[in-house]
Amino acid sequence: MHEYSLAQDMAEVIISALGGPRTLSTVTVVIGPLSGVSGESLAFCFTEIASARGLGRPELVVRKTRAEMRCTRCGHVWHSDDFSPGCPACGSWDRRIVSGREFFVESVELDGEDADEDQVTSDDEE
Amino acid sequence: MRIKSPVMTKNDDIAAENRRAFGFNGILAFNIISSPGAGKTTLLEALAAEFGPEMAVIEGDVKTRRDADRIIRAGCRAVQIETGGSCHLDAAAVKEAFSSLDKKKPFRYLAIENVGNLICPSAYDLGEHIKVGMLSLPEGDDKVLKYPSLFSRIDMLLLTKTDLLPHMEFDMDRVENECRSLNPGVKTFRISARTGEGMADLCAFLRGRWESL
Repeated sequence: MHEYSLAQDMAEVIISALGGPRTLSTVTVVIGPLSGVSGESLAFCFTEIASARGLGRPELVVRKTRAEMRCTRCGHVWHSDDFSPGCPACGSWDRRIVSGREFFVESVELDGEDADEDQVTSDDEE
Repeated sequence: MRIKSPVMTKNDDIAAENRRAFGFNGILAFNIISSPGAGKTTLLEALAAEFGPEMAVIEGDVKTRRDADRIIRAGCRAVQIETGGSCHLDAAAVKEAFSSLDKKKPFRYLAIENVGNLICPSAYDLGEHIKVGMLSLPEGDDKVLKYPSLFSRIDMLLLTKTDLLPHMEFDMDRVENECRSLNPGVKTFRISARTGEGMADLCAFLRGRWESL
């Protein structure tokens, strides 16, 4: 279950963006269907890891996106929740994955007293 | 509070460093991913017989130095990473292992044998030039669409243990076609490290890729 390692990486990303550990109530993560990441497995371990890293016991909110694919034969664009086998318009296998592998921490909500302090943002690109 | 930070950034940054270091040293790196027992180490022993000291190997396993010892006996340098429980290699572990290889004795090929697992290693870029997915005949010909995260990302598909084909029902065309349905550009080889079938083509391809670095 590589989600344990990913949860540790998430905690590191959050602490870096906040400039240090803060108590959080919610963490929202975006997971694409082609990322190979299980939101359920991530939720299973994230709260405990966050707690151990001084982030309180935040609830993990998983926002799932859809993949976008473009057929390089006929140009058809379609959206999918998985690796659909081919272009629904012409049946070709020649397609380009436009999106769907994304996996990023979208936002956090500070809890209690931490929420009243100055907020820190990071504009790292996706 | 908006953050919008990719979780894999740290790994991907180190992987990019690795890729630059491999290129700087004139090394073609390939990362071999399969389930346990598919024949990764046996393939590397066969490549060691072909490439000898031109190849070095980073071995990833949860425990033991068994695979590194096999590679050294086959005539190549090898570094063993024992993950201690982790189900995959990451770029930082590969960076550390690569730094321990003596570059004064130059080599052309760096094989990275990942931890046996068809799921977790697929998410981690190690800095390799070629991501290799390996499937052996005894595993069955229905695996590609069951593990799409791996088979959609690989550059090369190796079907291994082809010498066992007379003893089992395995449709190699099915596997290759399903892999292309996820991954139209994938390069495929059918090999038996034991009999040598397909090994000359694979070695020729790797030599060609090294020359075009």
